[in-house]
This record gives sequence, structure tokens and C-alpha cells, in this order.
Amino acid sequence: MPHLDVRALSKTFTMHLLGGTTLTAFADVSFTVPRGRFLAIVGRSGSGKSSLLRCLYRRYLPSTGAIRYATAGGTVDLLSAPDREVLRLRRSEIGYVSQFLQAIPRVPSRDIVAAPLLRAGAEPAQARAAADEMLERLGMSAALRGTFPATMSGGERQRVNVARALCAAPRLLLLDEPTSALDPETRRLALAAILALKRDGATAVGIFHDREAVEALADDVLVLEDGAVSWHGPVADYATTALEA
Amino acid sequence: MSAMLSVERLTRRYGPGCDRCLASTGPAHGTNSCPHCGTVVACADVSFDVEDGEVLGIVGESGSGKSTVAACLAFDQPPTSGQAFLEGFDGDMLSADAAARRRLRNTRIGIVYQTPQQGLALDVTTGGNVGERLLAADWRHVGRIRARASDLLERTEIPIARIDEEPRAFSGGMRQRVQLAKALASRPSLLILDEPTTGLDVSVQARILDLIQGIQREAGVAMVVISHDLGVIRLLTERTLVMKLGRVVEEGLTDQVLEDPQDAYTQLLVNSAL
Repeated sequence: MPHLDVRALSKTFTMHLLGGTTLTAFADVSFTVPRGRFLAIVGRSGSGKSSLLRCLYRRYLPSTGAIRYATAGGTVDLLSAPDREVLRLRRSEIGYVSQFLQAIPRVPSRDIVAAPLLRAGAEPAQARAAADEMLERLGMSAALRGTFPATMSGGERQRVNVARALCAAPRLLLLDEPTSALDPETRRLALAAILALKRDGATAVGIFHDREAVEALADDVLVLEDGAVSWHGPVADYATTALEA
Repeated sequence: MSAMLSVERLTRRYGPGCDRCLASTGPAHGTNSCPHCGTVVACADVSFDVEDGEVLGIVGESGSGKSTVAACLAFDQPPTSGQAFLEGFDGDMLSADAAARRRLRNTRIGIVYQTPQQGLALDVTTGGNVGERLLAADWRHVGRIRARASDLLERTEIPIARIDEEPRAFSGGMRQRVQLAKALASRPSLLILDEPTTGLDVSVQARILDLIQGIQREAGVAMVVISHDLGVIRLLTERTLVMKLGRVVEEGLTDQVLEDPQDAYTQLLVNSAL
């Protein structure tokens, strides 16, 4: 049984302020991701990638279709699951890295990263130590770990963002261009940390713009074009396809 | 986990009322005033539940009925119909007798109002304001009451040296913190925050929000946060109800409601934020 089974998923926005105009972000998208595999979603800006990922996290409400997600306790349809069930899964096993850090202001980065662990019941000292370790792996200095993200550069903030998601060791990781704001060296560190999570058995769906990340992480690639799947296959074939194109 | 608070079809009308009030008001009719009898339907059929450790947001513009919901749950106003159940209390708390309601209000329910004069006696000392709640909750030992009041004021960052001053002499932000100390005094199971930071400077607002988040991290309390400020809702809550003209028009995960609002009114609200 796949870890994630997305069937005929569509998302259409109805914009009431514009007289009810509708805008379809993507339509009829189907794919499965086996446990422990990484799927990369690629495509041009506006092709529906981020909307698709947000639907998987239920940050957007999908319009039609199904998102069957296998948990230890059985399969849940993330499209129709009650809000509290979605919250529970977000806390316990689904991690999401947005393009930009969204965090509580006035909280030091170490504590932002530790927060999901604390919520899951970890001891405060242990949670902070784990947060420190993850931030260090992503190349953040000890001095910065105690400061607020508001005072940081974009790349530093993004490290906090990635660290927060990885630190909680999610079983399903949703990545929305997690490495795009990072310098090459930090990008390599982030990819290594994501790969370590993969070795521990995590499944992931990620949007990446750079080939390096796709080739380092993905097992399979799904190409979105104008909201529809235009290609889906193993990463090795994608490399050939892309070269031919 | 069972709900700490469960509210079922809470309705509050002001006026004589007729059998067409509910069918003639609400977002679909563009009014909360009944065209047949002039009754104002402040809120109608509002249902939700909140679990221990959960924070529920209620957003909506002025007049949407969100404060009426708070007032009914704090027993400040009787509902016209509807029920509310608080864990550990037998039966509908809204129809309980006056003594039982007073007891619940004194021991299990805390509320912070938008205007401090609603929640505080401004001409009674700060310590007295907090102590009054403890007395009401059957604390009898003066030394213990004073010690507990000091703890609470320390936690809400009111200088202990000012415990004998009247809140009249305090700034708006300090008064809100005294209200919080008072609301927390009897370790309530339900904490209602009705526009807790509205009208305060941003730096003052930030300290109060930090304080509320600190309370949230400690278990044993369910919170309802009422605000028209979407930033406050995003920061404090995980689930949100959107109200308009007395009705719930949308509810869901807070991030989903704010980033992918479904209802026309919620879209307007989200797009109106600066």
C-alpha cells in the first residue's frame, strides 16, 4: 500500500470579490508515493505546484478528488478528514516547509525549531539540544541560534524553517522549494539533512527548481504544466527526457 | 479527547421576537434585524467545541455577534436558546440555576474583556481585584490569597510594588494584564479572551500575546479568542470560526481559513487586512 495515494485531485478557487470568477490551479492530478520514496514536483511558475502541495497539507481545501494517506492506525483521506485529525497528523507525522518562514515573532530560533518536539511531549532540555544540533547541521552559528528570525537574513531564516520541519522527524515531508533561498554550501547541508531523514524511512513530496536537488533527493519526478500532469516517471528517465527536450 | 466546552445552537435575540426572526436575518438577508418585529438577532445557531489545550478563534467585524457568544458563555447575558456543556458539569450550564452559574463563573470560567472597566473594579486595589476572584472561589486564608495574587501579578508582569494601587492609575496594557491575572486566579477550565489586545500599542500588544501563549502552553485550559485582528487569530489559534451578522459563515483550520477562505465574507476579511 502506498504511503500517499492522490487520486483525481483538483483545486479551483472561486473569487467572490471578483464576481465569482473561478481559477483552476490544477485538475485531475493522480499519483502515488510508496513509503520511503521521494517524489519531486517540477514545473514552471504558476503551473500549480505550490497549490498542490498546500492541498496535501490541507492549507488549501482541495475541490475534488482524494488524498489517501496511510497512518499507523489506517488510511485517512486528508481532503475530508476532520480538522482535529489533520492537526493531529501535522503534529505527529506530516511536516511542511514553506517557501518562507512563518513563525511566532519574539521567539529565538532555537525555540522555534524545538516547538514541534515540545508539543509532541519531549523534555524541554532534550528538545532544545535536538534543535541546536539540527541548526548546527545546517551551518547556523551558536550565537544566531539564540536570536529572533526577524533580525536574520533570508537564508538564515530559511535554515530555521527547514530545521523546524526536519527536527520533528516527520514520516511525510512536504517541501516547497526549501533550498531556493540558500547559498550553495548551505544548500548542500540542507540536502544532506533531508537525505538523512530519507534513510530513516521518511516519505517526501517536494518542489525543487534546481536539478541538483532533484537528482540528489528524488526517486520519481512529476511534471506539472498548466495545472495538469505532463510527465511522471523515475528520476533516471526524467534526466534523459529533459536532455532530449 | 472529549471537549472541555461544547456549545450547541447558541442563539441570542434582543427584542420581542417572532417566529420569522431567524429565517429573515443573517448574511443571506444582509441584516441581523428582523423586518417583521424589529428584533435584533445577535447570534443564531452557533455551535462549536473546544478541547483541553485547544485555542479556538472567532473572527468577524463589529456586530457579527462574536462578543455576544462570549457574553453568553460568561453568563453576562442569558441566551434565547441553545446549550453549552462544560466538562465535569452535569447538564446544560446555560440553563443551570443562578447559584450553580455563579459557582461555575467563579471557579471554572475566566474572561478578559476588551474594556478593562468591564472586567475590573478600577477603584479597588489591583491585589483586591485578583483577591476578589479567589474569595468568590472560596479561598479564605488572607495570607494565601495575597500570595496567590502576588504570583499571578508577577506572572502577568505587574510590578509587585504596585499591588496596592488601583488599576485606575494603570495604562491600558497594564489593565489588560491585571484582567488576565484575575481571569486566571481560580485556574479556569475555560478562558475567554474578547478582543484582548484591541486598542493597545503594538509593543504592549506583543507582551500580552506572549503572555497568552505562555498560558496556552500550560495544560488544563481551553481558550476561545475573539478578535477582528487576523494577526492575533493566526498567532494564537489552530481552528477558527468566522461570523457575520450573527451566523457562522465558515469554520476550519486557521491557516486554511486565512489562506484559502471559501466564503465571500471571509475572502473580503482576508483581503482587507493590511
